[in-house]
Amino acid sequence: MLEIKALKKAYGGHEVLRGVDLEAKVGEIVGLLGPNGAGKTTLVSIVAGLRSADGGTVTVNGIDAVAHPDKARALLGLAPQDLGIYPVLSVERNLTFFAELSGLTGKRLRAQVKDVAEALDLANLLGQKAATLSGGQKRRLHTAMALVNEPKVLFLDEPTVGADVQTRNQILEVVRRRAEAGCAVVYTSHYLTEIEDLAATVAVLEGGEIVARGPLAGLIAEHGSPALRLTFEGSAPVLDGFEVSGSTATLRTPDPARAAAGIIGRLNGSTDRLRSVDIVRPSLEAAYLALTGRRSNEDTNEKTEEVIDELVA
Amino acid sequence: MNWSRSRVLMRQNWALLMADPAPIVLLTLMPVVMMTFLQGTSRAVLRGAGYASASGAELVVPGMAVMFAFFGVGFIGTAFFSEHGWGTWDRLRSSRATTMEIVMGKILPSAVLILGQLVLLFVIGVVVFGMTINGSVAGVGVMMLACVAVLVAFSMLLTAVLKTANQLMAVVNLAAMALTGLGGALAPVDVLPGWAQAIAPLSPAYWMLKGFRAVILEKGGLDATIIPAAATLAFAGVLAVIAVWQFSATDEKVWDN
Repeated sequence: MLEIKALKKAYGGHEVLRGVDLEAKVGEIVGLLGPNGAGKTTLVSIVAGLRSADGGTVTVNGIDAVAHPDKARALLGLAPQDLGIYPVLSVERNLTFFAELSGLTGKRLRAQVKDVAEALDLANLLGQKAATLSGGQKRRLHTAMALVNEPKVLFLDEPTVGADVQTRNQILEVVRRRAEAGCAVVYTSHYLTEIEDLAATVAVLEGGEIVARGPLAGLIAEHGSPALRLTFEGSAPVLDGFEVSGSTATLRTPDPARAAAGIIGRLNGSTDRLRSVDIVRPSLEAAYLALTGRRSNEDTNEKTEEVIDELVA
Repeated sequence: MNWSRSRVLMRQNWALLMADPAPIVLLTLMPVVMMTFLQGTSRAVLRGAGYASASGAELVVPGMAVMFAFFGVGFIGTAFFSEHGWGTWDRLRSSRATTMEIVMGKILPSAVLILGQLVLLFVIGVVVFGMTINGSVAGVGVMMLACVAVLVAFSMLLTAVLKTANQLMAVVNLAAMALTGLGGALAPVDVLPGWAQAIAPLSPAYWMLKGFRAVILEKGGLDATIIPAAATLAFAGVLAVIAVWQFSATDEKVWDN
């Protein structure tokens, strides 16, 4: 359904995408992971026709998206990372507009708006102005607007950022159902548990390249070995057998608990700067850590802080 | 261009304009207030210039209508900037709509609004302020259309080159006052300082008001609008070419209102 080959993009000499290959088949959910700045949003933007590529090909349902962006866009649904709704218009008008733009009319249009609204628990809010919705309701509307044109390929760029648990679960359920109906879904997120919940195929984008791609279980088995992770104030010290990255030192070991018991005494002068000791179990989180050298929540924490700031404001 | 999609886009943008009609109402009421205050002065100026039966409205109505139509340039610009602020610009561009359809969908409803504002102010001028159109009524229509064309092109240029909505409104306000003042909206060009008279033809408002004056005050026929309308449209053409050259759908815009 979606085939990306050797996709390249640079901004002012800085290569953001360095020959990305990615595929999403009919009914497949691809969890696109990677730290901030890895190129996820640029990748999604190019496929959605928002930016041009410097090289490579993008094919959507057999259509060359570079040569025929208009035809390819007709098959796509996009929920960008930042909220995109018309606050001064009603929920129904927001949905109807994008359904009409896709060419839907009459009964089919009304049925599609109703279905999408019901799926994301917006049916009772159709007459309400979008500006008056809660944060979670706005996030659901934002996602619904990407679904209302019945896309064959759906891009959801961090769709649950700032969403409450109920909203998150509703969005995940809708994604599952869309995939079951044959839609290819590319789902970017920093919340790895969502990728696990969706049982998605995983693609890890790091430094502008796909560094791992495969089924979730396979990726965890291959890269998700248990580990002991120490976090320090300032730079982590050099320790035998540990990989050091910034303030963290990671030891891959089949028995991280035993290793933790023995390491404290070896820290010498660094003990005072030790801030946390984490035991990383085999999981997508551990695989992600092994592949990118950082925790997924290093990025998530930034997002969480943004959300808290918004709530306080 | 797909007309069905263009219609959908135009309807959407009309709904967005009408969602908050306060600026539109303001830009229609303000010139009426100004006409009330300035009509007496305009009457004195016109009678002094030999138009013995002039009510003053013949000068002040087109002047204020053109000045506040310039302020209306902000409608078109904000139609673009607000999409960036709401995060919907990229959504639009990832839809089936082409950039041309999106741009036309934004421009046309605002252009209709500016035209409607002009027509309404002229009707108020006739009914309330006693303005008499001594020449061709069709000529008034031609000048209105030329006026809308140059304002659309001007707004597109500003949208293309400016980065923030605040910059847009600052430039619109300054341009509306400076260009229309220079063009004779507040006082006839003949009574402006010498340097201003010399550069007045560089303002499109000068040609707009010259055209209106020809048909309203000087009993001119449709042919009297040919040169002023052509000059106004020439401004529109030059501004449109620069706007197209400068416009990029991928430019980031800031809605800082």
